[in-house]
Amino acid sequence: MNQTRSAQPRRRPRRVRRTQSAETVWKGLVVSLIVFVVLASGNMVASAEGMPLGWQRTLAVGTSAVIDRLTNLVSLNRPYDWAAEQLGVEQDNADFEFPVVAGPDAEPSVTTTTMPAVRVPTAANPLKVVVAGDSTAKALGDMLKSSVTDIPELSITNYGKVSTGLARSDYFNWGARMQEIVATDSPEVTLFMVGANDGQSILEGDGTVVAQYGSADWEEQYRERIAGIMDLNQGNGRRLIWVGEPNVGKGNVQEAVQTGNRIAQEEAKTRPWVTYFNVAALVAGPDGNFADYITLPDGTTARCYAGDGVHLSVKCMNLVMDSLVPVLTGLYSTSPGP
Amino acid sequence: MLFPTMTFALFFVVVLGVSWKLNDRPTDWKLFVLGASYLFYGWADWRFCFLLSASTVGNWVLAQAVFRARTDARRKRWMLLAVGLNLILLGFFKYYGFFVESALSVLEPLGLAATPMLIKVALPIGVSFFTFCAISYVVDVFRGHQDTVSLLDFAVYLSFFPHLVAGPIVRVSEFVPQMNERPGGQSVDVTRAVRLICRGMFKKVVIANFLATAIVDPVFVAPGQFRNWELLVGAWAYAVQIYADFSGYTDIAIGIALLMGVKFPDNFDQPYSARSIQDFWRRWHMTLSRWLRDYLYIPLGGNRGGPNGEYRNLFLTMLFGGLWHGASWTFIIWGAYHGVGLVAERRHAVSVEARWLPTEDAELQPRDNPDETKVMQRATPTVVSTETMNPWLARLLVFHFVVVGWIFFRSTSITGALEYFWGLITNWGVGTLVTPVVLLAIFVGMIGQFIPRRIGDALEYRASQLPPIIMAIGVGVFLLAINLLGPQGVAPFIYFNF
Repeated sequence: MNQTRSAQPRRRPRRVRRTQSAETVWKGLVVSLIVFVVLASGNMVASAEGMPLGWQRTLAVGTSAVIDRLTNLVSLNRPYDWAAEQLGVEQDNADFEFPVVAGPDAEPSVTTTTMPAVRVPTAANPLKVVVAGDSTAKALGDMLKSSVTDIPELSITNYGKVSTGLARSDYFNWGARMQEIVATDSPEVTLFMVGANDGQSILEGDGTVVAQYGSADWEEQYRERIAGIMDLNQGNGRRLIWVGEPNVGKGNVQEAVQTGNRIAQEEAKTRPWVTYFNVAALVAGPDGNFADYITLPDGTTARCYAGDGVHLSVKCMNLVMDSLVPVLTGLYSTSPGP
Repeated sequence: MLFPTMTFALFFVVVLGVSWKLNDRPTDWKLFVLGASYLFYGWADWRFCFLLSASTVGNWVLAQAVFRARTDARRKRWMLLAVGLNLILLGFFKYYGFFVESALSVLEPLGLAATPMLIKVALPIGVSFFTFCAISYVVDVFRGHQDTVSLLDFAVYLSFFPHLVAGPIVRVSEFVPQMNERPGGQSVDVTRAVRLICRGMFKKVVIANFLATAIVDPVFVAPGQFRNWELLVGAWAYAVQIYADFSGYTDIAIGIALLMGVKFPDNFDQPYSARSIQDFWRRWHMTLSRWLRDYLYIPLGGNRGGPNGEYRNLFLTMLFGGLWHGASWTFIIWGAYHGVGLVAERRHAVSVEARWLPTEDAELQPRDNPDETKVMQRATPTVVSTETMNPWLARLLVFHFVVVGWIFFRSTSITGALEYFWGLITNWGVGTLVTPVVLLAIFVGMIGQFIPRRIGDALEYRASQLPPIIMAIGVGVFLLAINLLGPQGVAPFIYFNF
């Protein structure tokens, strides 16, 4: 009997997890959040500034700024900021202010009417092409890369960044970023595409609102930013292809997109190094406006947009590529030799 | 409202506090949770709340009709009407564009171009999940497995925010009793909840988001431009990304529900450690697999009707499972691919079983619905691979079978998928996207599949012994680390699209 008992493996007593009362759990949750908010107060301010304008943002920016100031006094936010810097999380949002421009009716700022030809690239020394802008630009850049795999004379670098635009320099400053790209990459051709996120008020890098969306100042301020990006790409024979946004299926976004496209077209006319590429016309419905489905040149009908009504489907992106790639290669194409 | 955001954190602080305050008043608790859930759901687009409430009322009324009908024929008619209406709702919002486009692609070459109403239909988040929950309720009432519940109970069940938008697909019988018999507020299993939430946040914010931006998104947008090692690692990365994204979401959902005193069933069980395809489907999205088995496979006949009937039903179930994920041929191919794989495996298993395995094996019976064993009487040898080959080789084969399926699943078109496969065997080279950090992220995502559960449980036990204040500070610091390690911004969960 004893032998049988000793042969059986001893069962380890089941360890029971300690539980807590609901009140303690709730207090614990609050403490966790306070720890998080206090230690990452700088990040909280940046996140709050990235919110759409409105009372929620005002409240979030105000609250997080106060917390950030307080935690800064006792340096509680330093470890997070240091770690973020080491990991490269923080955006290098250099101070950059878009210069004031004269407007569409003013005299062109550049008297030159012709541009020197773009050098003829080779496979060994390809043309440096940079794509920049919002998520539509990112998709454009990815598709462009795949469309020119058989053109070794083109080297594409994609700097598209989702959720960005020209309106909110407090969230992402495309002026500063473009300045950096031009300095470090020296692109020979830049493709820039923004607008789908710009149906909102215009803010400076420090969060100051310079023009409320819908106000008379908004268009003027937005024009300055578009012109600023164009002017940053001037010089050294550099070319800029401003890729207009397609019409979109969201009313509030469509208004901003149309305004942005119009301004970009007007500003491009006064700058010989800028070419405006009209995507909206390529993917428009029969009436020239937004259409979820369009008829392709081969006669088939295709859904032109992704589910959000903003980003183009692969089929329509291919349609865009069919026109855009010749524009790009046309910048340097020479007459066919004998 | 996304879980890993400050907006949700603030929302949840309020909801958790008030929820426990109302714990002793069930009706008030339900009304409050219902309001909070609608606020959560309507945060992005309040118009979808009307759809949710219409689905709630419609299904509740039809379930009442099923319950009260005097004859079986009437009960069946009401049930079929409810299921049909749910499928129409789902079909309209999810598949309208797909069917219109597919029809046009067939008609136009024949010169029969119709002019359908080409309207854009926005997909309400979570419509597949709450529709499946609603169908399960009506069918359970029809089968006599479930009594009807009050409209308030049903509304809270359908809209309960932790599982509303991406599951797990919970049954009324699992949820409503927990509402009506609220647990005492003195013993919240906080350590388990914290473990789930922290694990889910890490998987989603760090692993899934990083892999998406570092390699998965680029290689799937334009596979033709990448080298075969980039494509191979990209496919592995997507396998890890979708697991980390979806299981991360359900971990958080289960943890949040647990903090509110509600227990959800598990949804994932280390799926990439599976040694057979069937084993994989018992570990991946378990509540959907269970739903498909109980509300599609079994009504189709299950494994009655001989092997051919069983194989047909299995294939059709997986095909529908693929279509459920979205209106695209790539999802249909993905479902069919798994269906063919399961059928082939079953055929092979049966032949091996005849030679090697005992005819009775309790482990091979359905795990969590013993009532249905009659339909699935014949033993289904799930672990035949382990009997016939090295377990690690079996895992490797099953994992890569699943990865091939993911390439279809993730590609934007069949052409894109074929281009991906072509690149895998032709574009020789390593490329620039395969970096040590990417490989490390894949390794971290995979290693969790093989860590014995007892290690996690032991850590959980030790954590539960910590003073609450230390645990709370630890959670705050952990969230901070996640915030630092993850890419900026919060990408939506993949399964929000389904």
